[in-house]
Amino acid sequence: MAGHSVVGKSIIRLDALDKVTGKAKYCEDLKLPGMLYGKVLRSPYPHAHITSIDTSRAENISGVRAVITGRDVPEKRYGPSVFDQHTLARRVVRYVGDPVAAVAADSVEVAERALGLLKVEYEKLPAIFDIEEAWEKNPPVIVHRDLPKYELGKFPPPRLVPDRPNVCYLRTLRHGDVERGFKEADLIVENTFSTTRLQHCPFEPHVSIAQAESDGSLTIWAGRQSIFLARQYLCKIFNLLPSQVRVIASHYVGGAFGCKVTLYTEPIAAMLSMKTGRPVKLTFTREEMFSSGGTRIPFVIRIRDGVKKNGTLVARDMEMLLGMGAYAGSGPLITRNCIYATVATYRIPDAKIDAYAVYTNEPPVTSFRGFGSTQVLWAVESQMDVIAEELDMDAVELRRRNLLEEGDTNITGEIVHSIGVRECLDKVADSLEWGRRSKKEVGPWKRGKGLALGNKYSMAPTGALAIVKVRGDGIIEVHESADEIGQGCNTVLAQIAAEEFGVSVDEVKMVWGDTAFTPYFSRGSTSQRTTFNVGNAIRLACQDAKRQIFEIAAERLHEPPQDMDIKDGTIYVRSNPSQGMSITELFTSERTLLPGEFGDFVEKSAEILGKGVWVTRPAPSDPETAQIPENVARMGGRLAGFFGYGVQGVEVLVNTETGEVTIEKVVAASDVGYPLNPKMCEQQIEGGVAMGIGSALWEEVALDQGKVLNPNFGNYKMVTSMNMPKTDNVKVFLISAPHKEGPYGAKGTGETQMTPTAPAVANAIYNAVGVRIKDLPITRERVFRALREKAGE
Amino acid sequence: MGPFEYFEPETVEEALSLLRKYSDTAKVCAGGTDLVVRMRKHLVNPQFVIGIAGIRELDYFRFEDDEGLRVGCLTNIRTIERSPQLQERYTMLPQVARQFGSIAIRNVATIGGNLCNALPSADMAPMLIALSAKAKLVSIDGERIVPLEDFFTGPGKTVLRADELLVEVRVPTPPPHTSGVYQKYTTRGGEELAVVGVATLVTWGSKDERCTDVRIVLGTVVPAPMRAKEAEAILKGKRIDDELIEKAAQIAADESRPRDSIRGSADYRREMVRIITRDVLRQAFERTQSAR
Ligand SMILES: Cc1cc2nc3c(=O)[nH]c(=O)nc-3n(C[C@H](O)[C@H](O)[C@H](O)COP(=O)(O)OP(=O)(O)OC[C@H]3O[C@@H](n4cnc5c(N)ncnc54)[C@H](O)[C@@H]3O)c2cc1C
Repeated sequence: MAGHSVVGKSIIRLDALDKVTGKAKYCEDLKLPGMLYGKVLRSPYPHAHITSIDTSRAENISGVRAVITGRDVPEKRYGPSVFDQHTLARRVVRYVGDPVAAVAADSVEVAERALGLLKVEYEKLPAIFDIEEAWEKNPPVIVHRDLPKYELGKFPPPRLVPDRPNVCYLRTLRHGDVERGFKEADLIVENTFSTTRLQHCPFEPHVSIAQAESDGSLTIWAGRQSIFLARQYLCKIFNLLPSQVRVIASHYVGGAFGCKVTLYTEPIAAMLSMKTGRPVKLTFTREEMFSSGGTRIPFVIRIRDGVKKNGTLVARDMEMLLGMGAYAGSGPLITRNCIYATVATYRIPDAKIDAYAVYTNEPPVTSFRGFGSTQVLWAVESQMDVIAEELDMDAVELRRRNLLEEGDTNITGEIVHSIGVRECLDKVADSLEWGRRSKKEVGPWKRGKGLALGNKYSMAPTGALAIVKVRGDGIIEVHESADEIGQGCNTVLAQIAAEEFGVSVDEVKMVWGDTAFTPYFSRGSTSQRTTFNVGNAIRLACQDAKRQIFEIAAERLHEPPQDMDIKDGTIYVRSNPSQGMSITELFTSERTLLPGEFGDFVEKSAEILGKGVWVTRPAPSDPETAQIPENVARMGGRLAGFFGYGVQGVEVLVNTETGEVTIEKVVAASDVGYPLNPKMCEQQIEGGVAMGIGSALWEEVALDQGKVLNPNFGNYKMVTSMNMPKTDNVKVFLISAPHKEGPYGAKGTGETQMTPTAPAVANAIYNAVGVRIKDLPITRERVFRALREKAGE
Repeated sequence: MGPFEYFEPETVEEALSLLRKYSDTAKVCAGGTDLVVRMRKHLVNPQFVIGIAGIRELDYFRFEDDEGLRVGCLTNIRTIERSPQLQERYTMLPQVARQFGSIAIRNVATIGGNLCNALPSADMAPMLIALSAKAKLVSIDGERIVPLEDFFTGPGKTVLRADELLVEVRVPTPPPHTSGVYQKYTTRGGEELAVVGVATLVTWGSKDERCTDVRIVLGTVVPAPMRAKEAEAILKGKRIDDELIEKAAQIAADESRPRDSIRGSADYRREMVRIITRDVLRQAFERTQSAR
């Protein structure tokens, strides 16, 4: 965009040097005086009664400072939406890995040894693992017998299904009349798709240090997302006031991808600290990350679409079962929001969606980059290709025909704004040479191309505050509470402040991550909301600070404040730019004072504090139909903060003998509203593509009777650099459909990028060898079997 | 990891007397890339760990005219991969090494550790067996030479006694007109343990077009690396064409004994044995022919 000097530029990340030199500090690096180390004993059974726990032997070994069990934890259950969880299991364990007891000791080794000496007796209960079976009306096992009696949170508004006892939340959407729609259809296509569990695999596992203070308050250092959400949960668990819980983001967090919104280590570390009075650090092992650190939700998706011969979508009916595992966590919220993936891109006159959150005795799930959208789009975007095939129509053409446009009404009644998906599609189709047959096939290797559309909303409500402090040396200090989880948000936020003051980012200092000192940010850096919400709060805070500066300057320059502006650290009068003064001059009196004197400095300019408040609110919608009332929509009422869009195309090679798939080329275009830092947007896209490829082809937390079979990187197959196409074969395009409320038009972009990858890969495989894989991941063996089946037809 | 006492002997003798003293309660640690992982998982809980990495006399390889190549047990995989001499005289060994782990792992993983750890998926084993390599095992009482073919007795099991050290691998010089190819098949591609590993070594007669000797050694899909002797038998002494290769590959697949695991079902892995065996045979035959 014209006229911007700092935003829109690919400046180098502020944390680059510290990170490449290893200086950056993470929670795992922190060591407090007298600190103990915690370890957790976990259930070996998927469902059992705890009949007894004998802690005496463990307590007696030297170096063990505390042992806690379910008897020590508060009776009240907690959770983000369904209050179904205790910090340590009290009577029943519900998954393999459910925490049963914890130890604090002088070293990790001693703590581990103590775990081995804890004697727990269980009485095994029948367990349930199959999502569809658990969803049934008379399931053989009920995971939470007391669910109807549990306390329920407000977000999302609770909705149980009395005759489905393992369902802890139901989300429904009704738009038009879906049966009428199907009557108009020339073709009805129905398929069932499924996705599997992924682990986020952040470099740094879950970790926190808790210190129970002598006044009864609690200080937590945590490598996590969302310090204020953690504060809320901890207040709830321990019955404390917000001012009694201080959560400090230990500067940098070694990756999160969604799993660090949930509390895993904090309450246990807190209880151990309360018992010992000493700081306690609890770090998950990699194995614990897989068994108890949260995974992406496995979905079963039945999708039925009605289309006209010309490709026009007329009806869509979806039924989705989401496996929560043993505790709901953020699952109900994901169940509520995942349907937005169907809402964002296509015009559908009649639609019906039911999404059920279903308990099983598998490990609990959590949010994962995409928050359900990725799974829904796996089904939708695979299905679009199936439809195209059945209509004998080009897959791009089919999509183009059904795209929503600016000003259209989507299936929640929302009026569409800031939708760059068509341009993304054009770019990708063009760059991938869509329609041109692939060349160069050798031996058993066949080539194919495929693409898919992705989207991701940003959740509302979101509230963000920012404080901007102008320092006497001209430094602009920005206080905010975004989580620096590796995405580099502080760089972009600093660019925004720098832009507002017309200075370079070197003049901006970021201060973040301490609930006692930095301002409120409702759910932290989740739902790709940081740039949009915190960015706007910072803009407003800068404007507030500038207003104050101009008022002080007005007195000195004898010009009205509204005529002033600021550039390169200089306040000037617009009508006469040569007349001005530098920010530092506002504070000169401070520097000329002798020690002990303060003149009129304190009254005049000692503290220039700008405050910015930004709130994104969703429009009210009907709890059963998910529809936004027409008059509200017309007034601009919205479902979410914004929608980001991404289209990806891939070219694959498939080995018809072994089922191997290699990704030869990726083309990705994304509508980011406005790229505040283009390079960092590209990196988000490349990272999303890599994660998407991993999820498409290999990644799966494999379970047997609820037990993780592959809790390590030897057998959990993350994508590696060797599986990526060569750098030249990854093409990225940034598209700008500015959002009227975004800072400089920008929208968030972190989550969108993984949403189209897996279906694009599946579509390319189909294009190459004619087999349609409907269950993730598309392993070599799955492709091999599908090819065999096809050959046998 | 449980508590243990750590020793760092500087000579083989010192190491051997420690081994004699602590026997079953001790573990040798070379690069540690297998041992440490197993200790962390509590799969082994030695009370004593004998770190041999400091015994520099065990880190070597050299060529003896009559007996071929000798490789000290501490030679790491990266050295094997990068050696120009090995590339020239035992091309098949660097060819195996390149498929082993990552560069970081290859820099510390030793050949001795790979063999003594004795996983069915150990990458160095099949080709060394194909080359008729032998292991030199020593204890305080003396030494013995064991053909690698007889060294492995099951997953993680060898004939090595608790007080013995594998100090050297001896690899006879391959006959003229011989070439070897190893191929590892995995589920993802890149830095993984094998799902199927097949080594083949092919020797052509100097006069006619016949294959005078052939070795096919399977890894991973068997409890311990094993020659597919029936498959070898139908090739030996024959003129080789694609049909015969296909047939041998099928027989090798039938000889393999894969199990169902999260890395793949037995059926699938058996089919991959067929394909990989076919591919390595083709490559080896092509290589020897073009070399002649
Ligand atoms: C990330 C990763 C990737 C890997 N990738 C591969 C791969 O691609 N292919 C593969 O085959 N392996 C792989 N491995 C396994 C391992 O690296 C190799 O088996 C390696 O060669 C072991 O050598 P080491 O020196 O580290 O053995 P150690 O761990 O030191 O020892 C292994 C075992 O052998 C015993 N031992 C070692 N040396 C002697 C000796 N001289 N005499 C008697 N006993 C001895 C030890 O007591 C121990 O039981 C991988 C491991 C990791 C961690």
